[in-house]
Amino acid sequence: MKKGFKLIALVCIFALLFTCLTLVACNKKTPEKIVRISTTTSVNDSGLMEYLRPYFEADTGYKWEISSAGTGAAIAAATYGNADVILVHSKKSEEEFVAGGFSYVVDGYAAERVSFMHNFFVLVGPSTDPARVKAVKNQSGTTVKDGFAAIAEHESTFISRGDKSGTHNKEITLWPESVGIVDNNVANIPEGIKGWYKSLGAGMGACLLAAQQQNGYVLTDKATFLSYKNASDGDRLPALEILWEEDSAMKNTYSILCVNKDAPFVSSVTGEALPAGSVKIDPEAAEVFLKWMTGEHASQLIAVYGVEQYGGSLFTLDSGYRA
Amino acid sequence: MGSVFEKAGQLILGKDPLIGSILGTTMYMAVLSSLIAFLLGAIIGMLIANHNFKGKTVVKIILRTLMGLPPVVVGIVLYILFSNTGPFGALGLIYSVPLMIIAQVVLITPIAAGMTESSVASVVELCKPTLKGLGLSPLKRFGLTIFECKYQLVSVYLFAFARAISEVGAVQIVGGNILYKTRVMTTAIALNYNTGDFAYAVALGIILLAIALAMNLTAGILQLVARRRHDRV
Repeated sequence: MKKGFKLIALVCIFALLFTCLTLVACNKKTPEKIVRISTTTSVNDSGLMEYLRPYFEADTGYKWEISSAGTGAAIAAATYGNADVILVHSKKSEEEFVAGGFSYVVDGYAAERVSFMHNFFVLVGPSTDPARVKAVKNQSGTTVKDGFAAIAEHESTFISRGDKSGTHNKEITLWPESVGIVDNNVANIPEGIKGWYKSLGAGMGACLLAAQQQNGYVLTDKATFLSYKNASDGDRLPALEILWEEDSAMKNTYSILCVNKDAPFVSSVTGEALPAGSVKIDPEAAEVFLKWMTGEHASQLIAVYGVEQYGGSLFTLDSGYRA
Repeated sequence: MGSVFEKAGQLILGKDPLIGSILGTTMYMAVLSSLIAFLLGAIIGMLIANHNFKGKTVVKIILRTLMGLPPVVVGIVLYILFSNTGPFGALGLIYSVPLMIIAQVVLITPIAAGMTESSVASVVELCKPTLKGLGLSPLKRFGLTIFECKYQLVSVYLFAFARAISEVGAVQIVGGNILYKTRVMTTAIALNYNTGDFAYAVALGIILLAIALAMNLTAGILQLVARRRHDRV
């Protein structure tokens, strides 16, 4: 009985079409002015953007819509035409984004990448410090790379993000060559270090908790570490403390990049080039965001962010990005 | 744990400025997507159960495979299709609740269809001779079968709703977890886990469970009332 088949197929197609049409009809765009921001989870998790939101909306009349994902997905969102501006902290990926023609220089700025603030990654580990990282730090002339070398030498447990995030990308640059970590591809982790080098493939929070459970060392952004230390239900990482911070090799620079509306967008399915102007990007909105974030009011707000809760500001503003 | 329940209490009492928006989006998305998926799934399931046709086994196998669709993969595929550089980009649905609903419908419809088919098949076999003997038209037979299977269908709907309200992988990707727009209970829970606010995350989970409990209680009471009335007749 073929009839049943056909009937089922017909009902399916009809119902799906109906669903789509209804949903599209319901989704009439509100006439609000909106800037679409794509950012990494770590930026969103620090709470900075929610802290700034009301001020931005009051000052500019724009609303912002922040979507957050891992560094790779956050940048991909922009190349898929789903963001007007990105706020990320992974230099290499940003440079590839610029090289691909996806960004442009806004009038009054020196380059596509507007590196407007930074903080530092910190090396965190057990207070018992089995690799004697603290002793290494106290010697004069040592850098954090010597601390990482000590961890490798003692084969102390180290928790790696293993997810190609900005933090992971930073971590792989800090190991001495002899350890054999060449890139962020977890398939290339040398056999010999697998006993103590744990690649989790998880977010910052999960890695911090793993380090707490396994008495391990871990590289983290300071904001997440402090938020776990000062959680509403108490100190979630009692075994861990900051062993190394403020080392120039661990600088974590945040950049804003406006998306070029004439970028060489390609179809996300076929990979064919799309005609210029067919992808809706709002550079006006992106520039409003950029100018506000690098303006006087935002600077004042960012400078005091975290002072009350953690006793020190979480981000330091940079200058020198203007033309 | 005291602080968790305290926090859940505060959330329920509306002392959190974000909960209203998150709860509203969640309910809108879950109710609409579960209803659409249930209607589609139930019709497909009933049709398959009601008819014997060539290739029925194949259809059933495909259906059962689709029941295991990985949400994250569905999310990524829809993300690609509905991105502004994708074939459906012009609809402007990326990072919107309607796209989250579409994702849910794709995920839940096969489950609803499969559950309907397997729970209804036995009933249908029992009814079929009687219905045919009565000499009713196919449409009337179909209607009567639905009536006979109403309890099974209620369970299927409740399951569809439970899936819709608790799914996180696909809605995170296609919705982007945008505050005041596409943030729902599950993506808010994931976010609060990431930010280390476990108490808030669990508190949200308690509210989610409470909603599911309320739905199930209502359905249970309705079934009880219906059965009593049925017995009296």
